[in-house]
Amino acid sequence: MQKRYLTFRLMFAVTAIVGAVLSNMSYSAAAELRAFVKDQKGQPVEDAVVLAVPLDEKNKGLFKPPLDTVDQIDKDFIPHVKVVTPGTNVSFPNKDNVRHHVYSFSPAKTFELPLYSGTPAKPVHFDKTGQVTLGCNIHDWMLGYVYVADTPFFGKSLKDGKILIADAPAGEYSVRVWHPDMKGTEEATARKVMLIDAKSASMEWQITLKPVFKIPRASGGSGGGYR
Amino acid sequence: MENFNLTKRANTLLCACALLAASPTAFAEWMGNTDVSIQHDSNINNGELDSDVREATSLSMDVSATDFFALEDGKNVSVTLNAKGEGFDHYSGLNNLALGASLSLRKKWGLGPLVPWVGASLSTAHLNYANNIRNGWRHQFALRSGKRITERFNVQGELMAEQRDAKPLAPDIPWLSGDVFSQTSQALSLNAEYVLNDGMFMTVGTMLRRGGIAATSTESQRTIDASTAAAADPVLSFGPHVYAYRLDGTTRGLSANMTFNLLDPHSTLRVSLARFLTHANGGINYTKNVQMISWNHNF
Repeated sequence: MQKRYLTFRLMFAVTAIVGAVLSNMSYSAAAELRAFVKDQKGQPVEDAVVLAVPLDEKNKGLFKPPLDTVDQIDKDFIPHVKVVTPGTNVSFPNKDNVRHHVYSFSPAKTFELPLYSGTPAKPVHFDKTGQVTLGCNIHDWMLGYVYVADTPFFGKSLKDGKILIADAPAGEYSVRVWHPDMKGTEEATARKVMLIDAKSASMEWQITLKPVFKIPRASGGSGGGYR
Repeated sequence: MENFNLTKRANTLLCACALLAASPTAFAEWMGNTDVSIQHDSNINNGELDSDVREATSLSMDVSATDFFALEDGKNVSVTLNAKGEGFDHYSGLNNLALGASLSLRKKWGLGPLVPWVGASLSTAHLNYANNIRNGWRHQFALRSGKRITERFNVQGELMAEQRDAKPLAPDIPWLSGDVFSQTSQALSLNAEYVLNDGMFMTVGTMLRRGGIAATSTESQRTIDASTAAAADPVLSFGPHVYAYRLDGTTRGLSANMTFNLLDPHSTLRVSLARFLTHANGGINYTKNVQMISWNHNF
């Protein structure tokens, strides 16, 4: 009786260990992609977006778009670049003490949020892929971007130019880079990569940035006064 | 009587600006601005002859508070109260404090940074000098318009009418008025701004001004004949028989500024050069060069 009981306990323990291992394996099965984007001078590029488009049918349509936000703080769009997927509703909360008038003329999304303070009642629905350039009709220097990505597997670089796309299902991907000030097309940066379960792949791009000419906040005035 | 009415109107504008600025409006934005500058004027007294020309350097600080109201359809209104103090290296009688207010309207014709805009402003200031012969009111009305051609290139123009009202001085020349510092003028200026890079832009401008000028110089029959008023000038008294004259003339000016964005987006450093050439009645001509370096911070 005692022997049978010990055998049962042993079987239970083995089953538990195998279950735990299998469970752990399924958790770590996703692949990751580490990318680095630098400019023509070899300096890290901030706000570069790396997009991994799955080429395997089984990995497409895995993502449900969330509600997202682009704030207006100190008369700037924060973040400067926001990446979303088609179907995302983006809210534009105004955290300044002055009204803003946000608009976009971009083909991917043309919209206007006339003078408002606080959070507009209705978020803006982004349903087409591509670049959407944001402006404010009160503060002409305000410039921001919403990039509507054609894949849920993307990442955006910080000051160090590094990007991590974690939890991507294993498979083949077409990976490309987009940046608002990039010379050339994003398609020209596309490369194929095979992501393998529980492994990390590394990729690096060197892109050429156009010089940035932001509209100044201050006006030039008329020089020395006449008295 | 006319001066009294103008002063009354200026006071009304000041009160209206103060009331508008103080009104609790949910959508009004308060903006503060500080500007500190050092300016060198190669001909502070607008003298014609080399022996009359005096240069001066001044340090000034301008503090202003603006209440900005964004309205529908691209319109906005702003009310500004400002105080500017200026101190001179020589000629301490020119040290002054100007307290003023202005009301500005602006309309953009459409959406986006590249649409044209028009604006108008009405401003008034009381000028208080260490020596009170120049004390008085300065009223300005300006019409402005501009258009940004590209992100880098911006143009704007301004048409300004100015009236200065000072207390008439005792006439030293019997047949001439002593009211030297009461003047009217009109000026047209055009400016083009070009962004050189993310932290630097340059502005070049030209101006044409017609109207009254105060020039201090040694007494001469030619100057007296050309003047519409004259009085002794104890502030710029660099010799015997020196008078301040009111002349009518045309001034042409050219200016170039370079503006640098400093550590944060709210601060700029500006270096300006300007040259003015004036042709006054009676064939009196003079030039002046003005160099300025200024630091501006808005918050």
